[in-house]
Amino acid sequence: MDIKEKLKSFIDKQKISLKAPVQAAEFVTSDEFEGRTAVTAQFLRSASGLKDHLLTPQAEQAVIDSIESLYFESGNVDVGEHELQKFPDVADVHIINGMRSRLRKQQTIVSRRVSDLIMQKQGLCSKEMERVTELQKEVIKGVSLCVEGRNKLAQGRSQFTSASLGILANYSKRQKIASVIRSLRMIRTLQMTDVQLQSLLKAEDYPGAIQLLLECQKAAATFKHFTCISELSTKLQDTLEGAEEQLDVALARVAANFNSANYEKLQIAYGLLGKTQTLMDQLHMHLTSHIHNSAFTIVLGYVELYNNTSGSGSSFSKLQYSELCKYVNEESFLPCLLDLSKCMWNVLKSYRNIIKWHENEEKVAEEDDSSDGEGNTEAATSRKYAKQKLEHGLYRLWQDVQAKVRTFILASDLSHFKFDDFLRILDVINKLIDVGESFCGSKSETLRESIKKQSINYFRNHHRARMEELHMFLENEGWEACPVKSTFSIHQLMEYRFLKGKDLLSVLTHTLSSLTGNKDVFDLFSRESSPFDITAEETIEEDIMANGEPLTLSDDDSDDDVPDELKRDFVDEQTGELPQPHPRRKLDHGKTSIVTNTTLTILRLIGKYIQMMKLLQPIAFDVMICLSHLFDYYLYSVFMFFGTHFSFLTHQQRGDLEQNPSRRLRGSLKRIQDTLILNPEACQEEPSDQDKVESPSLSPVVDITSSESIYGLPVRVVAVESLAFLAAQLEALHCHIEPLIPQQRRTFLQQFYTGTVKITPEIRQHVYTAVAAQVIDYDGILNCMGSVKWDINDLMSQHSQYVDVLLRQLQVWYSQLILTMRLEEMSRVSPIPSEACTALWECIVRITNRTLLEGFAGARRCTNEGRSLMQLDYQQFLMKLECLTSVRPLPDRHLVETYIKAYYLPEGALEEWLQQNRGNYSSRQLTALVATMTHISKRTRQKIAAIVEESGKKT
Amino acid sequence: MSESYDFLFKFLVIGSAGTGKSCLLHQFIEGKFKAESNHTIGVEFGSKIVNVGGKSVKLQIWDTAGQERFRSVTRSYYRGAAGALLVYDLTSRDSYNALGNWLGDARTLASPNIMILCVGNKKDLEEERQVTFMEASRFAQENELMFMEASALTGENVEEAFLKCAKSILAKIETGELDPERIGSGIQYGDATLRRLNRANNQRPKAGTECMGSSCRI
Repeated sequence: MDIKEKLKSFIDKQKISLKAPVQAAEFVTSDEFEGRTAVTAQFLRSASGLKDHLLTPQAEQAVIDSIESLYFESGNVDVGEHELQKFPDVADVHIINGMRSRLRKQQTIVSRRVSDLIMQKQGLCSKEMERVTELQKEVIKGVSLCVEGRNKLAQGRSQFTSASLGILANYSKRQKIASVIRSLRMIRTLQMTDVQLQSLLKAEDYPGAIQLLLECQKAAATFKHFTCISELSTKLQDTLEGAEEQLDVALARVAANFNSANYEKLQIAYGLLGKTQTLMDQLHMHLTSHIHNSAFTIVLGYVELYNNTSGSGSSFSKLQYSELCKYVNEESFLPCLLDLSKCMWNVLKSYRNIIKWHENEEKVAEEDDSSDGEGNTEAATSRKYAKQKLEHGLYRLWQDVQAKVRTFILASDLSHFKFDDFLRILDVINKLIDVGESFCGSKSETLRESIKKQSINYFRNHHRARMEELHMFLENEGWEACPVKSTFSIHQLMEYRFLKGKDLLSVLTHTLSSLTGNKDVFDLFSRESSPFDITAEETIEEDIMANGEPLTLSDDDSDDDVPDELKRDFVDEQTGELPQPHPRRKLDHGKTSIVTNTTLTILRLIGKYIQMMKLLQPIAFDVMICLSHLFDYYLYSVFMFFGTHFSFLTHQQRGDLEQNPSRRLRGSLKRIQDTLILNPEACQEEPSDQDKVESPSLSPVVDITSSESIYGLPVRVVAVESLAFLAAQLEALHCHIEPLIPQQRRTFLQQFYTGTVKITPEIRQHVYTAVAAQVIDYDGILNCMGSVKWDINDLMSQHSQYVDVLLRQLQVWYSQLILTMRLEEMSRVSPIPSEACTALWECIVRITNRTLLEGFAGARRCTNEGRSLMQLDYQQFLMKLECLTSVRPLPDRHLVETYIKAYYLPEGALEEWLQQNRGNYSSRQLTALVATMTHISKRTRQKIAAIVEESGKKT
Repeated sequence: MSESYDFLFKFLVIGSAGTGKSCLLHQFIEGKFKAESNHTIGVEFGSKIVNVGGKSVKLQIWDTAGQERFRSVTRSYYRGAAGALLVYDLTSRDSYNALGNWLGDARTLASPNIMILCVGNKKDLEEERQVTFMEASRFAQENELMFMEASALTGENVEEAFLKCAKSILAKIETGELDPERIGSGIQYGDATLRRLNRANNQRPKAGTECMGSSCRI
């Protein structure tokens, strides 16, 4: 501040008019001018010193030079100190004064010099000053301009920028709002699309719906910065899920009932979702569950319908399917099975259509591919996946179907069904098997096994009832020939109609394959129909056992108006078409077949059984066994009734006769008794006895013991001949039966035929023996012979009396036989066939011969003449006998003749003879023979007796 | 077959040829009409379990041939029949006139207490009728027969006829008029235990025939 004061005063002293700049300077801050003021002050001080000393410039220069350099040094050098130090130790005023004056002088000069210099530069200085002032002025001016500019700028800024920026901001805001509005509109549309979606889904336009949904989702994704959008997109997600569920439902519908338009839509829709593979998986799942559900629903429906449960109706729906099936009753079984089959058929058909659709798709895709080239690899893999899946599905689906049907079938006991109902059931299942075959080439083991099981069960039951019936028939049988026409053949029975013309089998079980040929079953039935409709329409009305063939005259055995000749021709015409020889042709045309009611029943049953073998193919063999039981039972009964009564014979005779039925026949009868006949002594019922039947007892009205009825000869004839007839029929049927039996089981059939059927006629001899043994009084003859003397010495010319007795008896028998035959022929009831006559005569001759042999062997002593008598007697007997009977050769004739002649053998030949004939004679007879041979040495006789004894032991 | 029933009745169906005996039986057992059928050869057989008055009765029915030539063969089945359906064709007077003969056969050959129900078959052929209901009804009354008209075609009265006959037999058993134990009654107890008991009782009288069987074992 004091400097400022000084400067003021200095400026006043100098009288420099600096008013204007000073004034201006007053605007400037003091700092700006401080430096300049200081310079001015320095300059002032030097000027004051200059006034004292005026010297020459040289002097001045010298003085200046003498000034110690110290003084020229800038910086804070303490000059005073320096001068003081120069003082001598002893202060001397003079010196000091001198020094002081010098210094003063110096100072003056310096001051002067400075002043000079200042003066010298004054002009410059002022000039400079002026310029400075001028500059100052300029600067002040600039500053003011600047200030003014700034003010103006500030003004401008405030006036223009904020306004326009506001506008800009508003504008951009408007823009933004506009876009927001657009978005909002979009969002609104998005929200609105939900309705549209629903309607699309309802209209089953799945691809459209999904497309829309996907677009919406994409749109929503672009707007995801909106808070409301997140809600919307979750909603969309929900809708999408909902739509997928709808798709799933639609898929389920398509699975149940294929509709190619819908399926295509679904395919596209799933394709859009990128879930084609899921579609395939879901599809299979739906099919499986559809099979399960619909099977359950159908069965439940029937169960509830027939089980009148008003209150507890719901309890059935909680049951397992397999349990539920057990409640299906007899009445509803078939319709239920049909419904079930139809339903399954529809599922399979749907599946078929799906596969076809995919095949078409692939074809189309292949065509596209060829032009398209690449880019479709994904589509191709998914197609491949679908194809594989579908291929696997075929078999699995069929397994499911089979399992359902099987459970249903096995749950019920079908054994009490009527046969045609049962056949209808089988028919349905067979059709199912056919369907399965063409569906996936499956052999349907499950189904086959189940029908086999049911068939066996059914047939067992059926057969058991039939055997019981047969038992009844046998016990009621009067053993009278049923008066059938002479032209009777089994072809006249209803049960054998299947043998001619239309084959029942082809009518029934092969409906499908015959209809289809080699074509696919699935191509055959249009949208609404199924192979199971045919069953309902065509076969239900018709009696399955009947053939639907118009009634022909040849069927009617009893049509008396038609002449036999004409009828026969007709029959021949009918049967002539058959490849095998007609059984009737084997028989004599003039001769009537002898049948009993029971034979007819068995024939009918056999006919039915053969039909069953055809229809129940899987159990044909079991049926065959049962069929053989029918025959076995008849054979056994005939044998038991008529072939076993020998109590009236002597032990010896019985022994002979019991060897009569051949070993084979006896073997068969033993087998039948073991396997078929219930043992009356065994009280406990063994499980194996289940299929056995009681041994029948002969109807009390049948008389087989009195002599008036010739010991039941007509009855026996009927029994045996009807049995033979039955056997002949069976043989004739062999060619029909054989193809029905599986190859590996045919040995049984062969055994049955060779071991039982073919040897059946051998029973004739056996049964007739029973008669033959009674018509002649053999014991009486034997007694007569016992009284004949054989040890005579004269050659007799007259035969013995016993021969006449014997011949008389034979004659009586013969006339009785002729009478009976005439009677029978007249009544047309049971004419005795020639086979029977022959067999009967054979038996009688055989027994007679054996009796004679026994009688001859009874001779204790015999002479040559006696032996001749024997020959004479026997010749007489033979001669007369040959008049009575036409049987040749006479059985056992050589036996008697050889025995008689053996007597004449020489000693040497006897032994050889014995070896040869040992088996034909009993040891008693041989011993007796040797005993009578007196011409032989004792030693030989003993030896031979030993041989005989030995052989007797052996036998 | 494990059927259970209380009684077993032996039945006969007799009558002239062509009166529809087999059709009646078929209708009764199968519940439907056998459209095409031949004359019966010999006899045929059918059985059915029916419920009569709370008892289950197994009917063992012998369907005989109507033709004259079969008479001798069919007669052996008359023995021990408990009931019979005597059938005539109401469109054929001949078949009606033959009733007397058939009735005679049945009375002499079958069980003396045999219940006979006279059936006028072919009721559906009303226009061709030759025998009036009244006439046949009188005949039945005179001969102590039950009487019914039926149709095997429509099934009318078919089951009723069999049931009626069975019912009257059952009634007679209950009153003691018929003894099921008597041989030749045509009636058997059906219950398994009873049957066994029955068999034990019959063993002795039957012994003659039985031992024939057992002594002659093969």
